[in-house]
Parts: sequence; C-alpha cells; structure tokens
Amino acid sequence: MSRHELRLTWKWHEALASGLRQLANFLTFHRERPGAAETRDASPEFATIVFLTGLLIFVTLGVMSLSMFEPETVLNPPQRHPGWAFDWPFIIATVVLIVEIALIATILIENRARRGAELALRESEERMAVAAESAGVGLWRWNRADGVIWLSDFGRRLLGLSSEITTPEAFRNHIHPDDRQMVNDAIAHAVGDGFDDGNTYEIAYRFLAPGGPTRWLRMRGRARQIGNSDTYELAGTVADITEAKEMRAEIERQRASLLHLSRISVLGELSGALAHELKQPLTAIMSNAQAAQRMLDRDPIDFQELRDAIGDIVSDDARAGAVITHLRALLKRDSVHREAIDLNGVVLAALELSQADLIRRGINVVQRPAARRLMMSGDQVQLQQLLLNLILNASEAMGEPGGTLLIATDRGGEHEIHLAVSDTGTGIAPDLLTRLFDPLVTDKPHGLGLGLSISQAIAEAHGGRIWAVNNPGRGATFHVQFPVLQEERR
Amino acid sequence: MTGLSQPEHRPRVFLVDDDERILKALSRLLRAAGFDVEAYESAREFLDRHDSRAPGCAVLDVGMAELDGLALQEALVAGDSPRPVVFLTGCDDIPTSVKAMKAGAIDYLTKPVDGDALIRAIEAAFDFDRSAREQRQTMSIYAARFGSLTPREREVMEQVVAGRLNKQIAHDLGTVEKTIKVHRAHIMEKMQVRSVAALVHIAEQMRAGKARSPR
Repeated sequence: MSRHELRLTWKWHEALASGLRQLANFLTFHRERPGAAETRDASPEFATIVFLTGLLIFVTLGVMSLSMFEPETVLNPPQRHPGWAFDWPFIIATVVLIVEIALIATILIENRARRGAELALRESEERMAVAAESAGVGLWRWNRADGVIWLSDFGRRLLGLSSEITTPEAFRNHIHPDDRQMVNDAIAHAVGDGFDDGNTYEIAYRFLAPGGPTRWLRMRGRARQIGNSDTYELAGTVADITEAKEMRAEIERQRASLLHLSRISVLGELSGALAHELKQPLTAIMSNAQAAQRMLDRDPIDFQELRDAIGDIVSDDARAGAVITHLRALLKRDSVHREAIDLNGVVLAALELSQADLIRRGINVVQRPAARRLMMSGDQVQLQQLLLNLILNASEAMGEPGGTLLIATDRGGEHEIHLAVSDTGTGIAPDLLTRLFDPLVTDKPHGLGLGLSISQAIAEAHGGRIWAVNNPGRGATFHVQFPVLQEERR
Repeated sequence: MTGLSQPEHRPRVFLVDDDERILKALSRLLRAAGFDVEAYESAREFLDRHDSRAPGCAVLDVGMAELDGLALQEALVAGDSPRPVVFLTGCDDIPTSVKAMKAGAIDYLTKPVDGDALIRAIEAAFDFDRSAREQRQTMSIYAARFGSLTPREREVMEQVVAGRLNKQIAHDLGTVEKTIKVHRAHIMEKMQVRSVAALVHIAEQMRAGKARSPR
C-alpha cells in the first residue's frame, strides 16, 4: 500500500489521469474483464477515485463560497437578481455536489460488492487449499512476468523449501541434475513457440529437498495468459510420489529377478531338449552315411539301397535343420522383452556367472570396459547367454592354465557399440573360419556346434552382428557389434 | 562273421529303438556291415516276439518311452538264456551308464554313434555270447554225464576229486578197495575222462558254474 501512496503523492498527474479514465469507464458503463489480477489492482484505483472526488468537491465548494461571499455582492446586493432563487453559481455548485455524492455512493456500493466477491474468492481458495492438502497435493503458480513462484504452504512443506525461495533459478537448483533438461523441455513444450492458452503438461522428476533425501515429484501444470497481456503464468499442482515410485521399482525388481530365473531355467531345459532333438536325426544321418560307405565297398553295389540311404540322409538333415530354425524362431519370439541395458553390466554379470569355471581353468581375466555407459536395447538374459558362450568358447580354446581372457567394450562408432572377447588359445583353423557360426560346426571332440550358432542368432535378434578373427600372435578374437540405444545418439 | 558257416547258428543283432528313422538307419548300417538284423520299435514287441535261444546280442536305446533300456536289460538277464547288451544313449548320463555296465552291458555308446565303434561292440558281444553259449553247452554235457552216475559212484567221485586214496575211500564207505576201483573205472568211463586230473578239472568247472550267476 505504501508504495501506491508514494506514487499518489509524487506522481499526482498519473493519479489524475487514472482517476479520469476510471470516471470515464464508469460513465460509459465500461467493464474490464474481471479476474484475479484486477482484483489485486482494485484498491489503488479506488484510492485514486476517492482522492480525485475529494479534490473536485473541494474545488466546487470553493467556487460556491467565492460566489456567495463575493465582496461586491455582500456590500451591494444586486438589484436585478433579488433573492436566492436566481443565484446561478450556487445552483450549479449544488448540482455538481449532488452528482459527486451520487458518484461516491456508487463507487462505495461497487467496492462493497467487490469486497464480498474477494472474500468469497478467498474462502474458495482456502477450501481449495484444504482439499489439496488432504489430497497430498501442493498448489503452485509461476508468474513469468515478474518471475515469482508462489507455492501453497503445504506445497512448501512437501518440498521442504522455505518461503524465501521464490525464483525459478532457486527452484531449478533443487531439481535432480539428470532431470533438469526434461523439466525445462516439458515447460517449454507447454508454453509452445509463441503462446498457446490452455497447454497442460505432466512430468515426474527427482527433487533434492535441502537437507533431505531425494524425492520423486509429480508436477502437473498449465500455461495461462494473464489478461490481454503478452505475459503468461504457469499454474498447477505438485505431489510427492516417492513411495509409489519406490514400490513400483521394488515390484519391477522382483518381477525382473523372477523372469531372469525362469528364463535361465528355460534356457537350460531348452539346450537339453535341443541336444536330444538334434541327436536323433544326427544318429540317423551318421548311420546312413556309414552304411552307404560300406555299400560302396561291396560288389555288386546295391544301387537301390544306396539311393534309399542317401535319400534318408537328406531328409534327416532337413529334420536337424528344422530343429535349429525352430530354436532361432524361439529366440526371436522371446526377444520381445526389450529394455535399455548397459553392455558393461551384461559383461560383469556374465563374468560373475563364469568366475568359478575361469578360476578352475586357471585363466586370467583382463577387463577393458568403456569409460562411459554403453546403452543398447535388448534382452538381459539372452545377452548374458551370448557372453557366456563366448567366454566358455575362449576358455575351452585355452586348454592349459595360464591363458588370458580379454573382454573389451567400446563405442564402435557413432551408432554402434562394440564388444571383443579375446583368448590366447589355439586360434581357429582356417577352414573353419568361414563356417564358424553355422550350426553343428565344431572342433571340439564332444561339442555339438551350437554355442556360436546360438550366439549369432542372439546377436542378429538384437540387430547386431558377430564375427571372429585370428589374433596376429596367439588365439582368436570374437567381435560383436550392436546398434546403440536410440536415445543415446546425440 | 568268421567261422559262422551254419546259417541257422549265425548270431543276430536284435535292435530296439523307438525312433523309426534311427532304427531303419542302424539296420541298414549293420546289414551293410554283414550282420543279420532284427529290428523292433518297442521293448514290449521285442520281449514278446524275439527268439531268446537264438545266438546274438541286443542293441538297446536307453531312453525309450514305454519300457526303457535298463528295464529291458533286467528282463533279459532274468531269462534262462541271457543275452549280451550294447546300449545306445542320447545323453551322457554317468549314473545310468554305471548302472548299465554293472548290470553286465558290453558297451555304452553315445549317439550319434560311430558305426565302427558300434560294430566293434557288437562283435565283442557276439564273442561273449558265443563263449557263454559254449560254456553253457559244456556245462549241460557235464551235468548230463554227472547225472548218469549212480548215487554210490557220485560219492566215490567226490572223494576221488578231493584227492583221497582208494584205501581211504573204501574205509570211509565201509567196503573193500577192489569195489572202489570198479566204481572208479565206471566213473572215468561215464564222465569220458582218462585221467584223474581231467576229472578234477570238470568238477571244478561245474562248481564254478554253479557259483557264478548266469549272464
């Protein structure tokens, strides 16, 4: 209030102009748009009117007294105008006075009505605040023109912020650094390029309350134009969803570990069942082929029998192929479960699983992980399976203790992440190199030749590729490349 | 395959596997290798239909649905003319293989099985079967000869085999040395031996044959 009085005292011409405008508005029945902004501005305007009206009354009374007590008139009463009835200045002054009084009365009535409305508004606001508080929701308003953030008392308690913190910058400092950009983007989106009234937004972000733990907040907001001006404000609610978030995270963790266990066991059963399914056609193929060899040594050769044997070999081979195709389809269908995964985490998990085996074989493990996260979209269990296959392969290639297993990850380019598993073993025979990933190709006496084939299926199901090279010195290196997660491409 | 001139005594391979394609392929392989093969798709069919007296061996799949290889082996061992068994298995299961070998299996081969290894195992099984059959035949001859002895002669034979002198035997049985000599001559004739050493050998074999459980 004091600021306005000062303004009235020193800038009287402004007050006068304002008063005149108000008077003109009143006389022409002009109504400005009602709203919170005007309500707040009403009091100073009213003071201006009272001041101006007082001034006019004062001037009128002055004129009246001057005309009544004019020396000439007192000493020589005019002959032409005998009596009070024809004293024109007096009549004019009286009429003006009556108009002034009517004006003041009107203004007082209007002011009273406005006060009533204000009271009702305040009551409604209080009711709203109580309702919001019982719902655990804080209310906030951010005037973009003066940059002041208003927050309901409950909202302040919720965020653990004192009433001194009112600037957006101060608020922003309490938002978790990783979430600041997202909050900015959401607000910018709600506000739009220019300004679009009624844009709403809803975001969840982490908030670092001073001296307290990190809290998850859900903020709902709405951009709104202030009057006819170019400025706008954002207003909305804020709620603490930390508990719900934590609960959901816990449920997610339990679900994931359960899923992990069931998938591991499925993979185990799968390879057992697969081995059996494959051994049947393989046994038939082997026997038919060896039978054919023996038939060729006979004289005369029974061509019909030989033809039958070879025909059976072909159809059993197709049977084995179907088993592999089925496996690949299974892996692909299973890979619906995709999530953002850090490849470094997969490497660590796979090493943990194979640690006992590596120690038993006396293999040194050297890890060379990328310094930053290597995010990709994929299936944790399948990727672990791939890693396990490569680790097992490498450790089996190093027959004697003392070998070194090197696992390196890095960003293989702008759009790729890269994994390399190296061993110091015997290397890959040149004739095997080209068909290494074909099913049933193996150089191990008891191998089925499925590990690398499955690894390739997993890599391809993740949009990646796998290849192998012999090292310049000893051993071989298997490389796998995956596309980097879309969001990480910056 | 050698020395098997009489067709009716040629040993056979009794093949049992519930996978029809494997059965066909293995039969083809074994026939190409010169064996006589009888193929059965189930253990039950095999037990019902095969001639248990015919020489040969059984090649059994361990993992059969209805009656598995081990149960079939038990049934074969329990019979009066036990048959040597070669097992084929889809999975390398150590406890099962130990059980099978303890029950007298000739070999335990993992699928996909190598033809040469299978043929070697079958030949070993045939050898085993032949010697077991010869053994059983000899034993039945000995038993028949022994059966033709009178009770008195059997008593005398026991004493002779135990290495006792005629004089001692005569004294024990309450007779004269001359009578024992006559018994002894009859025993040598009926048992078709010329020396006491040969008689002792037969007696030992018969004793061992009784003690040994049939395979």
